[in-house]
Amino acid sequence: MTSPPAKRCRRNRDNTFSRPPTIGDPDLFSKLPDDCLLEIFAYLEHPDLDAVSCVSQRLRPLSIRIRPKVRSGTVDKIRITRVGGNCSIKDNTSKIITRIQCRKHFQEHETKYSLSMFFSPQWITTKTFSHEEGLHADCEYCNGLQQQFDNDPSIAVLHPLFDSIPKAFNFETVEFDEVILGDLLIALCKKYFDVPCKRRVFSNPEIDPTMDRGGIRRYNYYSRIHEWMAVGCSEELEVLSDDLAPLEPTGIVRSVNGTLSSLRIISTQTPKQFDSYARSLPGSLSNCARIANLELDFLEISGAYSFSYILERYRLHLPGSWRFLADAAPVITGIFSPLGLIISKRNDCALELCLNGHKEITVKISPLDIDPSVFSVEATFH
Amino acid sequence: MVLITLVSSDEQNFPVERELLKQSGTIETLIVNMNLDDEDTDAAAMPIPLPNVKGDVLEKVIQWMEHHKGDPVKEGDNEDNNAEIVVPQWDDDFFKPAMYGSKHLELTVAASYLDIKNLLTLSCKAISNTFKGKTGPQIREEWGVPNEFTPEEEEAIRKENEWSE
Repeated sequence: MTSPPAKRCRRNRDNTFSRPPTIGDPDLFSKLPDDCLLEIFAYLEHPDLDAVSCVSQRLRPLSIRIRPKVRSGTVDKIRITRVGGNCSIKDNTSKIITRIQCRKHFQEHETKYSLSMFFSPQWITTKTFSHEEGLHADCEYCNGLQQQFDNDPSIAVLHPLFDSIPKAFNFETVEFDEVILGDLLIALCKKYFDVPCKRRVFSNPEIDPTMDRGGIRRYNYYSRIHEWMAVGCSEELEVLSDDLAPLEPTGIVRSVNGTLSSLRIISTQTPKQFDSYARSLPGSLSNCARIANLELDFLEISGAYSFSYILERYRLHLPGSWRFLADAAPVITGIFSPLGLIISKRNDCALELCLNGHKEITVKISPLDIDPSVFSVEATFH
Repeated sequence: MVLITLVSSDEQNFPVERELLKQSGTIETLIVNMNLDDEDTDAAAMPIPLPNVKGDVLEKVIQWMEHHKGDPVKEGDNEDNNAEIVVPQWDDDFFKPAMYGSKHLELTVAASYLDIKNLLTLSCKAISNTFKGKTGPQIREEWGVPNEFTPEEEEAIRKENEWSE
């Protein structure tokens, strides 16, 4: 008489044998074969899988294993747009709230997610950012993702909540149809940054450079700027961060060592390099620039809480540029260079204008008493 | 009508219509290997033992197969959209008396063992439906699963899952 193969007994460490689960045992659920449990869990959504993960040690890894994984492959089109309602981030729990919103967003099977990294559309040859539903099936679990765009120059988006870049996607088109702001932390990948182009890097999703920098809002929210974002840039680099304190400008500067013509770092908080400068510790930006042997056409560093340090301590003089600082609101600091006029305003609010732009600007510059090399600026815009 | 006898682990015999058994990949393979489909073979004299399935469970499986006689048999991996699978009313009523009990799970294991894809799908879907909207402790209580986690571990898991709540 032939029978289907029966399950073998398993030898334990103490050389005893344990019988395979037999149907009818108590707590059969925990002894169900993995295949059966995975089949059951396959019908559950993420919140229910979270609940399952709390049931037992046995079910926990299975509930994690069954979650949908990002599949590599080719997607015709990616669409990435702003996630609505993500600006109400609270102080200490901002990250959690953001993730919750993000998670809910995906639970509702909407077709959008947001980028924290923003690139000026004119730097992208295609028209709009876009995102296709299903591409980030488990993006909310942030197991790392790189989306590679078949773009010229090639760009990719990765999920910087995690440093790893395990998966790649190829896209035939990339569309940028609106400013990318939001709570998912996504950066454009190395491939894009490897092209020697003008570059602007944002670390905080709430900074919207397209709003004339008048709408910078500050939250206790940290998105990492990676050094590789600056690698290969041989023209202008702009780094904007809501909070530069956790940022390593030294790393950024070193990554562009000898190649950069212009560096602009803007923050609403004090970069720790300024703090260290104030404490006469190594690692200040001046030291940083010296170490990196930078020969910039212009350099701007501004932050709402860093101006006192700039006024009192900062004495970098760079060929080809002027620096003027003022202590009178609203204009606090700025750069006047052959490339244009850049002024920044105090209190989480900055404004950038270019002399060769379309706006008509009247600028009055006068030296300050405290330092003749420091100027106050009044600007009228028409 | 060709009858093939299945023998459960507790030595109960179940004569089953040959046609019904096409739903079970495991039994179908055995029938082929044992040449039970040959005209020269006396199928009735060659019972198929199923040592991993008890008699009462096998009876339920046969009952299910009889109801689903003629249904198309799935082949290969399940590529259906899981979210779209709905448990038909008959099957829901079929599973319900055993729900939250070992019988339903035994049926699921038997479906897996016998490779009856449709039964496995519906059974698992029915079980998964009982999980929806429940917390871990609720699932534990309903299915009689002992709590193995220390309070510290529970807290760690809760924090890990916090952002999805």
